[in-house]
Amino acid sequence: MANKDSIRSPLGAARGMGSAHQGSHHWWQHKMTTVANIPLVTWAMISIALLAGQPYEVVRAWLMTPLTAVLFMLTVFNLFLHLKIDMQLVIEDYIADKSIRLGAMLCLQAAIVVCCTLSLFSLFRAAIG
Amino acid sequence: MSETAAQRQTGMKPRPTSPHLTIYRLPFTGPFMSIMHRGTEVALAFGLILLTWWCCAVLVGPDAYNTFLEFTRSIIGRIMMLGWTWSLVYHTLYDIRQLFFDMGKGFSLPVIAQTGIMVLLASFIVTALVWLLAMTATAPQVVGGM
Repeated sequence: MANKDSIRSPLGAARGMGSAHQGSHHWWQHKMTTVANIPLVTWAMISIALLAGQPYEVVRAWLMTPLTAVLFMLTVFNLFLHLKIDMQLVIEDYIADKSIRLGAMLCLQAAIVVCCTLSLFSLFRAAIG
Repeated sequence: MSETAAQRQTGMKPRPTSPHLTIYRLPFTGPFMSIMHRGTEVALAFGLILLTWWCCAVLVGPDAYNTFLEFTRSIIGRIMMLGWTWSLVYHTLYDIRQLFFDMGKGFSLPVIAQTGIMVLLASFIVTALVWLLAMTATAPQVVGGM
């Protein structure tokens, strides 16, 4: 029995959410990170432009202020999340061979996770100590 | 024409593929800007490695931070920072344009050309403004920054 609003079979709707098995989750995440990036990156770029070349103490003090620290950590996290999704798309677009694709995906995601954790930890440590 | 994995497996000869990049004219504000978006994406990935270095340098201490500052002040460092600034600005502006596309607006060819040129020009102008700001803000800032 077909749903008269859609040509999709009920089994298809119940099963996989499309070939990626995740529906439109990645697409929506991509859009959300893009929208969040616009104000965050604008703020971060202006802040870093003002911080460029300043001595260590000034930068450290800037990072210790709670509001700026939190906003900057949010920016970094959002940038890494956006990067993760975008890099996944790049690999899926340009690498067809399944084994190379899996290897590249694993290495890249691991590198992104490591760099993100390193950055956030450093920022957090710098902010509280 | 190169073999696909499936062709290698069954021992087929490579099949001819239709020409694409060699015969179709690519409008500047279409595919060229799109591939620039991709290119800046990859460049910004390396830029995020630099950001990670900056964060770790802040954590480790003044000496590590000064090493970082020396790198960014070198010729190569300045070129890279300029490139990354432009990449970030271009990428973000193109993302905004893409958000309008996702809403279904701005698909007619003249509008695509117009918004494309706007994004490209704005990217250069904003990069110049950001660098102007960075180069003129030489006095130590009040604690709290912006």
